[in-house]
Amino acid sequence: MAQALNETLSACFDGEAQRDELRRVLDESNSSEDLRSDWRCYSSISAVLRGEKLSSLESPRNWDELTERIPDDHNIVALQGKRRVNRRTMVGGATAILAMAATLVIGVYVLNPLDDTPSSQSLAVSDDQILNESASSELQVSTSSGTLVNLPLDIQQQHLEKLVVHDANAFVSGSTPITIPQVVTRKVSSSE
Amino acid sequence: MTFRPSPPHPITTLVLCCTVFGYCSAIAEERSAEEWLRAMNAAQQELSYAGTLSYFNGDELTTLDYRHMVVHGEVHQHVTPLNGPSRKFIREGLSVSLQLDSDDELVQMQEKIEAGGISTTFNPKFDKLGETYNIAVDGYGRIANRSAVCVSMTPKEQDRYRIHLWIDKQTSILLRWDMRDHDNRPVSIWQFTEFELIEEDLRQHSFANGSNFSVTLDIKSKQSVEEHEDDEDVQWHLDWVPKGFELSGTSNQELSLGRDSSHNVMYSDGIVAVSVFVEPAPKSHEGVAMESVSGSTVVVSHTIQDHRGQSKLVTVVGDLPKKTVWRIARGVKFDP
Repeated sequence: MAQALNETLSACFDGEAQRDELRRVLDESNSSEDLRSDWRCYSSISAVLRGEKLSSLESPRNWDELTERIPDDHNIVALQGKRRVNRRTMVGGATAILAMAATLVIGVYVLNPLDDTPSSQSLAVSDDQILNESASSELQVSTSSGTLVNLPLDIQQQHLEKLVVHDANAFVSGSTPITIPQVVTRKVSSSE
Repeated sequence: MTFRPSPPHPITTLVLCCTVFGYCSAIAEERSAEEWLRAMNAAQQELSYAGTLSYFNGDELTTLDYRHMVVHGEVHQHVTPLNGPSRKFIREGLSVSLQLDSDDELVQMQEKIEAGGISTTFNPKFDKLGETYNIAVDGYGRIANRSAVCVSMTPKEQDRYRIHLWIDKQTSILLRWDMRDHDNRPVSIWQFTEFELIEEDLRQHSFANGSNFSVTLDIKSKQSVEEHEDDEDVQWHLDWVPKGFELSGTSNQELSLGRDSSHNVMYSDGIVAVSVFVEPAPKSHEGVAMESVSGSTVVVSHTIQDHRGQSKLVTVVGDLPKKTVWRIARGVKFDP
């Protein structure tokens, strides 16, 4: 039951939930602390992606805990291509249009938000918002629970830059003497 | 009187050839795994060859035209993907360039890529690989219609991936690279599907390809490693890298407009490399830890406070398990 609700909540943040599913999540969140906790986590991530409430977020305090919460490969939700991308919806208007990097799957971990109570702002999500907003993001991020959300362009760009610089430097320095230069196959566009 | 040796009897020639071939085969059969690795490394520096190879990066399959030439003792390489974006990677010794079409998305990273210039004198120490991997000859097979020996490299710790190398028995050239995670899922695999040795007089012909690319990105390398600890601007160190990893390169570069320079160090165990970047953190990154996966490569970043209380963005890139990459990122510490 809890797992099903969590998946439904994830679908809400993915923009893939139906109206009745959203209502069920909202109803259940009144009685389920776990669900509220998940909701707060997703909301915090949305806030970060919108550039809001950054001051209210703390850096992770316990890195061991963070490491444990890093999803293994089974939990990273791989990019499903444009079919999924085109249905993407973000809560609260986070509809950043990103131009690159379809093959990146990026996880954002925001631990220990200061506000320990359900955020009224995050709960104030209307059906219309969820159902009508769409983002054409080509880059998605996965939260520690596997939810896909969009990532700001500057973070995406920053990771891509470092990937390419790493590729080139690794090869020319002889640090990876027996591998092919990955840079020639590094795919940064989903246009194909 | 001129002495003219008579040609050897055909049977004598046959017996001699069989003896020599048998002797060489026996040597090859008797090689240890470590000797195969050393022979493979030497072959890379001495032989010229070309072929077509398939490359699976854990996500997608690409076919590449691969040409490897040794010219006056210097390794030259041309690598051209045959599907996906039209690109060409050219290496001539320490000089590396990437040729692109004008609409390639990598073009917008031209400034960042060309601003690199990693300093290095790294020579992989194959003798030390046995300290971190269990290395063994793990069978024989056929790759690109050639007889090959499989050398397995199983990490002693779960901080890196397991690798199988298929080495050509005749030339010791690497024909197949197979990297898998601890659940035996492929992380990256490449192998030749066609392979040929190139004679010296055909080298120029093999490289005589016209260029139809409109953009060339130059990446230059320097000969010496600048110990980053000696750089006054760099006041951080790594608390931990996986055993066997050594500094293989350093560089300072402008990575994004409006940001100060990023300091980059690269470590390698001789097989895989990991890069660590430290730079001033943009406001939007504070308090957020990020992770991305591109093919077999993991990128993680998070922010920490330096010794002056300023926020720094630490980014680590490598073909290593995520927990290893995160542990390296957590190990960046600023000196008081």
